[in-house]
Amino acid sequence: MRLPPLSPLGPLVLGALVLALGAAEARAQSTRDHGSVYSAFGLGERVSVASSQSQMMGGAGVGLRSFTYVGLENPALWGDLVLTQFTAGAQLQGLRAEDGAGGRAELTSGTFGGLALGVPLRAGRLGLVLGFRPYSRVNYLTVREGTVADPHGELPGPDIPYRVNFEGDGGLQQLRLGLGYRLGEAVSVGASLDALFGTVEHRQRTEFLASSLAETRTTERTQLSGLGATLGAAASASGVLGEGDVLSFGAALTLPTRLSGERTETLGLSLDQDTLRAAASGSVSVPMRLVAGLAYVPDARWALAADVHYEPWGSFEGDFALGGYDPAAGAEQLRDRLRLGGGVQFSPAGADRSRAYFARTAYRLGAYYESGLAAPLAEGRREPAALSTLALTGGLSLPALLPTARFDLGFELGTRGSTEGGLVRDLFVRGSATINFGERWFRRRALG
Amino acid sequence: MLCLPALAACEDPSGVGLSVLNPDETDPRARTLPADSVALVPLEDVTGALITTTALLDFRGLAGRAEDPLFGTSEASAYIGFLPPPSAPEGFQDRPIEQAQLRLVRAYAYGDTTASVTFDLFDVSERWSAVGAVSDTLFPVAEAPFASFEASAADSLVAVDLPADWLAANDTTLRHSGAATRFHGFHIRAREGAGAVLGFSARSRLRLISEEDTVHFSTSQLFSHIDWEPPALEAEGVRLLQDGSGRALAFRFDLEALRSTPVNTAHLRVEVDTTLLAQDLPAGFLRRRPASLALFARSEPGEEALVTEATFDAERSAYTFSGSTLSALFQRLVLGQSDLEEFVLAVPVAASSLDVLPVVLPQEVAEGEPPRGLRAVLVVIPADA
Repeated sequence: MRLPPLSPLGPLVLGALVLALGAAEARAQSTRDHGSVYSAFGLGERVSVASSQSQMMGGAGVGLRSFTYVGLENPALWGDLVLTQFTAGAQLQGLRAEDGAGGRAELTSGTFGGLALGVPLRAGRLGLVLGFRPYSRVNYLTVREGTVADPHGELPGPDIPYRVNFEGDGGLQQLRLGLGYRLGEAVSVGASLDALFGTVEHRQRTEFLASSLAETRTTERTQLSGLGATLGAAASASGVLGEGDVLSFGAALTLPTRLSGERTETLGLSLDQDTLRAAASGSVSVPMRLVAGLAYVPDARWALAADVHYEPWGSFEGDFALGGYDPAAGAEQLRDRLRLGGGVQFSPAGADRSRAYFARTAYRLGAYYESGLAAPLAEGRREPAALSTLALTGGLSLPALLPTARFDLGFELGTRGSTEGGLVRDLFVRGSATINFGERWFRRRALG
Repeated sequence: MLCLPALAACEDPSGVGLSVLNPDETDPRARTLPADSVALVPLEDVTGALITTTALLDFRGLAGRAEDPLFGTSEASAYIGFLPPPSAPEGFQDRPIEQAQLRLVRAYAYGDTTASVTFDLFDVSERWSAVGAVSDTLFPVAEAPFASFEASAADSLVAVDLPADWLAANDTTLRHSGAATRFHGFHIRAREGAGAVLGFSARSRLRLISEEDTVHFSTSQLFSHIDWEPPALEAEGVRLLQDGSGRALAFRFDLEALRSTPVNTAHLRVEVDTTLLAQDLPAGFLRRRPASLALFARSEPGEEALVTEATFDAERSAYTFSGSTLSALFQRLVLGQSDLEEFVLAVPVAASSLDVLPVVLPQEVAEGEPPRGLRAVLVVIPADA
């Protein structure tokens, strides 16, 4: 079979891929990109973006079949692809952190939300997907202010105020390439090869009001990379509760991934850094991930989904001391991560494309609860306690001029942690924008 | 959600979360380090300069002898070269010079200010260069003086009429178009028994008068040859530093406890015993403290690089060196990235003197008492380093 050249969409997609990779690296250089202090734990705050649809439905969708969305969580769903699908998104977050003493910080961050390219090698049967998305992110900022201790008045002039900025930056990215195959009408399987890579930086930046004192910056930088794999399966049955309905079950298992890398400690600014200690090599073991979920689509207007995610971070092992993980110092503040989420989608027009614009819009609402991997130790407690997050999600999926394209606007309102025992409660609001569109790339030429 | 981009402009970080991170006590604080291995070491003292810029007009040629009961005996003799004006009056080269006068501007004194010092004046017999000349250099001069004069610390200008026979012997040379290279200048040496050293500045001139013209040769170069003998006994608790003695103060710091510590700033404080500076002063004896000090980084003997200079702070009775170069140097030292062998303290070359300085050595003090003596004050992180 002779394939025609790629449509004009092809270069655009490839360009977007390159831009997204660059954006992820550039984000690490940003000076105003800060979020939760709990992102200091482990390899950072876990980010779970499967698709914009899933994001708005409480993160559920591992069993939800779709012709429009490339669900990155479950490779088994990729066999459903009919059109070449492209997805790219971005996210903004505003966060208010409060402690029990009345302290408050307001922080903002913007992040790349992931992108995916799905190509149906055999429409509705075999699909290939290349996905790139954040896996974790570290972006905390907290400060300590004071004046330079000078008991004997040795320094010239009045007291010198300083500010120590404790900053975290970076995170891991996941590049996923895999195939999904539909064995029949009811059962699909899939597998992917997952590359995890990235850099986590913990920085202490001390700045002074007096110009005679130089800002100093000590940075602990850990670069990690490794390969893993995910296996997925999905099964669906129709006519379960009513005529024309579909009940689906999906599950995906990501195997534990060993990440190898190097840790360096430097002093100084980006272009003038001195190495404080010899680079240390080592590895960490990212735990397995199990995701399972149910989806029920009674008709073209409604869809419901619910998922459970599980990652045993409590058994995390690594050569590097991380936030909340330092066996040598007795710090074991990582716990198994459990997330329960669910949501509903309502499309008033169903499959009728002749209806009015807002009838063709999909309205989504969801919520999730997460017992996170970070387990801070509260004052007065002997054991660290897992951190809980409760969030409401939702958004709109707006139809575009092209019938195969959707522009999704999502939100997330949530709270994480508590102010008891000197801890911090995060109140966050996130907004996301995602473009999803599909196009037929490979067509048979008509003979004659 | 649409308002979210606006949030990006209004971050307000705070100390919220510190209790979660529980970082080490790594706040900056001043840390005092006493100097270690303080010793007087030989250091070539450049006492010559070519007068090409106005900044060097205050450079001096020193001549005389002073016996300081505290700092030792200094004996100096000066060399002074002259340069004809760029454009002499028309006909000057054709008319014999009738009178020559050496006009020495006194700009410095050390020793007995009441003493009148007799100086002999010699011809310098060959071309010489003061550039880079160090204090023990000798240039060839005539065997016998051709004139002598008296001067004291009270004189601001010493006018010496040069004898007729000297003038007759040098008349054509001075009027020659190549006078700049043919005439080599004078050597000024004190006779025995001098009680003071006087310094003559580069503003000194040679006045030549012919029938119709008066021409001034300006000072082109100055050099001071200095011999120095240490005192019989040195005071305790101090190191005596004297400009022109060919000695400088070398010292180190034990930075082992600060390994890999960020250094925000560094000051180096040279405390001066101002009481001692005025102690044992014979009547009328003038002893000067240098206006500024120079700090050098020595990687090996003879390889000194100027780090920075400091002026005297009367409030602290000390010279305090600071600045980004010094801070960066201490940072490299702390990181073990510097080949610095020791710090060297000396009086700057700028104006050639015999200024003296009793530098207080580091002293042990009771806990809680302010530190004393030669020391570094670093602002470092962490505080418990």
